[in-house]
Amino acid sequence: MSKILIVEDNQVLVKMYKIKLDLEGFQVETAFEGREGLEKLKDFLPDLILLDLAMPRMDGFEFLEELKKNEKWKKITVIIFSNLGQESDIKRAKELGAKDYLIKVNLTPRQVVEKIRQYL
Amino acid sequence: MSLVSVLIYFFSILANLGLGLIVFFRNPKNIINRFFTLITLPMAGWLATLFIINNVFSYRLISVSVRLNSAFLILLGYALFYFAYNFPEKTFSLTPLLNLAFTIETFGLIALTLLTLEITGNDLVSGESLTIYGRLYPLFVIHFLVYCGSSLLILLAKRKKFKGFPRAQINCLLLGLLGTLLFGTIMHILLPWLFEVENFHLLRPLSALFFLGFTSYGMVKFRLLDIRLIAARTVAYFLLLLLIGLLMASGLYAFNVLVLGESIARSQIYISVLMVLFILLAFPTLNKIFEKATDKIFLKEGYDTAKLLRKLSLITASTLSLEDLIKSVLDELFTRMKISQGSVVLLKDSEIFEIQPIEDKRVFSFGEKELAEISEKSSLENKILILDEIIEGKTKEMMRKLHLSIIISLKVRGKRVGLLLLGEKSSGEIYSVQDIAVFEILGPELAVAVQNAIAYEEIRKFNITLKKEIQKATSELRNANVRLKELDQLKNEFLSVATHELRTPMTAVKGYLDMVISGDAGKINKKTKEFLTEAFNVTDRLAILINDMLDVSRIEQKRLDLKIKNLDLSVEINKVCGQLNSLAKEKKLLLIYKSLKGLPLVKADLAKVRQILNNLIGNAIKFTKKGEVVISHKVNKEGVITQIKDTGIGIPEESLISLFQKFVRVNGALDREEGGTGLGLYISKGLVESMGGKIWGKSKPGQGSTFSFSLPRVK
Repeated sequence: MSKILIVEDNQVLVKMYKIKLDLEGFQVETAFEGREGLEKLKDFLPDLILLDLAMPRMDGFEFLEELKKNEKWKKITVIIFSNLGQESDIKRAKELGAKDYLIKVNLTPRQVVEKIRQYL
Repeated sequence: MSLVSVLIYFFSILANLGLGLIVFFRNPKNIINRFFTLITLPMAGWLATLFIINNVFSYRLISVSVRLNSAFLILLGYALFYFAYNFPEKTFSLTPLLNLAFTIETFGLIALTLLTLEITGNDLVSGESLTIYGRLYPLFVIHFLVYCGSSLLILLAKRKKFKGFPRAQINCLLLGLLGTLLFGTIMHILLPWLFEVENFHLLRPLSALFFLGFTSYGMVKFRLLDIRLIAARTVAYFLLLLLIGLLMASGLYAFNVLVLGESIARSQIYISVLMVLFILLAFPTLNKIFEKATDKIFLKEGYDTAKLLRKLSLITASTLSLEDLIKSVLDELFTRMKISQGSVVLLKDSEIFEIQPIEDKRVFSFGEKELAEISEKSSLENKILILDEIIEGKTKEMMRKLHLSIIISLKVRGKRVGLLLLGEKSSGEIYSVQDIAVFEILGPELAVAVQNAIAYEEIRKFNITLKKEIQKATSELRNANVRLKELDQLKNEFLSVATHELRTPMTAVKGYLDMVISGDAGKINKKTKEFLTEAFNVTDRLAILINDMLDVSRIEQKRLDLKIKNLDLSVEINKVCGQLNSLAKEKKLLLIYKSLKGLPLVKADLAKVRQILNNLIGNAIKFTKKGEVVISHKVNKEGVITQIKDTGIGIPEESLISLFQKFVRVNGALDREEGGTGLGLYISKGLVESMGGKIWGKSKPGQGSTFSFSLPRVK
């Protein structure tokens, strides 16, 4: 059973994706923002992280930087999952090691699951 | 009677007559000139009668001449007195009664002399005429001595009173008078008395030359008697001629008599002297040398004309700054020509334009009023205005008042750009013909230089203002740019925040709708599913619209972040076709891609090319009900053209161009149900053009449409 960590500050979306992914049989943990996400990683080592960018306290980029510093964590597949679609953001995220950059609004939860399966 | 004596007589009489007449006709109204003439004419008369007395052996003629001789001297004394009294201006005044008394006395004495033998007479003694003195002769002597003496005293008194030019003029007159009187006294009285010989009378006329010489010198050097420059030169010229003639004649005579020891006919000598004089006058070269000689003696130039002109030309041709130009030219004139004062006044449209402030005592410091007067008075004259040359009038008065000797209008193509004003020469000399010639050359050169300098000055000033303006504008622009950048930053932030905030709720709506539709929340009935699908589609279109608007704003703000790479279009088209194939199949359309072998790579951004292909192929499928959508290529020098041809409803020609505008959809051609934002073609156009390509469409209603775009090929 694949483990997924969702780092996302919007509770409505977190709830929605968690329901969908639970239904699809994934083991899902959620974090409200970057720091909480890093805390979660200590007990829960996911196969894939769905990472939002714009978050309070620690944003997605900072989270990604921290992630890549840790030997244990840096191999985890990270998919940026954001509604910010600026070219510069995409470029930066990929430079920091993100596997893909998805725009939330363009994808239905079904399509998100498909994408996740692609990367597992 | 010696030849020398004859020549002296001859020239003295002529010189006196000439000088008297020149001075008189120069300004007949001037009382000083009149009395001067009244001195020279009796002098000439006295010399003439003296000549007759000593050379002509006619008793009757001599007896008349003897009396005339005395009469002339009486008149001479009278004229001398009144000349001294008036020159250069009266320092005291005689009552009309006294004037009348003097006049009656003088003319009474003249009448007495001419009509009776009480003053002088003559007798024939053994064939020779002897002058005899009448009973009243002492009256004559007293008259002459009193008048001459008072003249001398008056002039001596005036000499103390005046300064500058008048004093120098008085000095000349005094020297001339004293010389004449002293020499005359010595020759007439002292020598005959001491040596008891009469032969000294041969040298008597020399006494007349003293006065003549000194007054002429005064005229030339100190502008005595307000004599015109040319007249002054004539006198100088004439005197030199006289001198040379005298020297030659005596030389010839001495040579003949002393060296050859033989006497030759006088007439022969006269003729040879006259011939030499004629040659001197007639041949231009000799004439020039002669003129130079007169100038050397009377008008010391002290500078080399050619050298000065070269220097002035160099200054006018090479000096750009107005101040330097004027300063240098004036300096050159001041030092070389020994001019006491001068200045350059700039004119613009005949108005005083600017007075260059130069800290120099030698530069005139006229007020605006005076300058306006100078400008006005000199505007009528075309030539160089020379104080000594112009006739009496307001202009001359003004020049005298302002101590201006020369006014040169600086003209460029007939338009006055300035005035060169010059004062007296510091030596007191008058301006020579050479000086005037220099001015005639300098004038136009300086005019052009002044105009150039003014133009340069204007350009320079304009440049400075321009520079300031540019600096100001630049700093304003810089500030504006900073503000714009700030604004741009704000707008970008706003745009991304707005986008983010719009997208997030829409993601939730879309997501939950999809999940419900997929049965994630439990089974739903058919109707519910249909309604929710409708809601999902609309929400999806809204999401696309937001994406499109984001693209539009990026295109319009030219903020497209392009990553231009070498792309194989056929790979991308195959990918897009693969994605869209299901859609085509749904509508039972054939989606055909006719690729070309060896299709050149294009220079383009991968994501943008996909967006364009998606849009165009998607449109073609969307608006075609049956038939096919064919994608093909054409290759030309510049690039690769991709054509998407459909068998749809087609578009009227007039709508084709407007199709690429924002929110435009063809009337009737678009089924609402087909969806789309009306931004697709506009975005495609922006994207294609941003990569250096072109996009266009061809269509006929009912016959389908062909949309094409080009992209630059890799070379």
